[in-house]
Amino acid sequence: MPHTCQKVGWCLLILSVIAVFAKALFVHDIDVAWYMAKSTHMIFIISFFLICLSKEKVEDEMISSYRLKAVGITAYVYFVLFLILSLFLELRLATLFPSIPENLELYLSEAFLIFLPLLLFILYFGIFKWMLWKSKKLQAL
Amino acid sequence: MKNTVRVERAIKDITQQQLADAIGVSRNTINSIESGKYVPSTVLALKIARYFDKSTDSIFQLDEND
Repeated sequence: MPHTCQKVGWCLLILSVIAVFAKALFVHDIDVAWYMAKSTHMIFIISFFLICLSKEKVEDEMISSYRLKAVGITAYVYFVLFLILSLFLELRLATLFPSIPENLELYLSEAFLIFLPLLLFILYFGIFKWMLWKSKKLQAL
Repeated sequence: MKNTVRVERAIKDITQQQLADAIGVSRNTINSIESGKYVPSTVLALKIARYFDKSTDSIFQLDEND
């Protein structure tokens, strides 16, 4: 997607953050709050996908190599997270530590599956932007 | 891989931005190439060499570690 989509995405993200605060401060009706929460959640996801999937101002081969590296690192981080969660579920740590609630394992695995796409995009985007920031910092020196 | 892009640019008296615009990359990429942080692709190396009207291996040379 073109670079303009990134700007639209940032605007939507800011709007969704403002909506979250506005809901918390001014909305007291439960129905209105529920609809606001649902729509804010959707706007947040759409804005994040717009930001992640749009091109940079100048999209050259170095940017492409950074994107590829970011995808690779994201995959490694995902495997580590998956391994930790699997170990947690397999070893049934909840039985070893009574202080942990019984349904925490189920909740964790569900949360992991539901938020996985968003988590991967956040990871990818964060790593990519960090690499870009690092190279720009080098330019400033 | 080491290169003499910075020297060639100084000889031609052009800025990083001018070189970047001429070969269609960002200034950040030119800076990374000059400082040896990024090794350009064959296509980009050939474009840079053509811009300076030199052969590729007179601008880009293998390092001791390569």
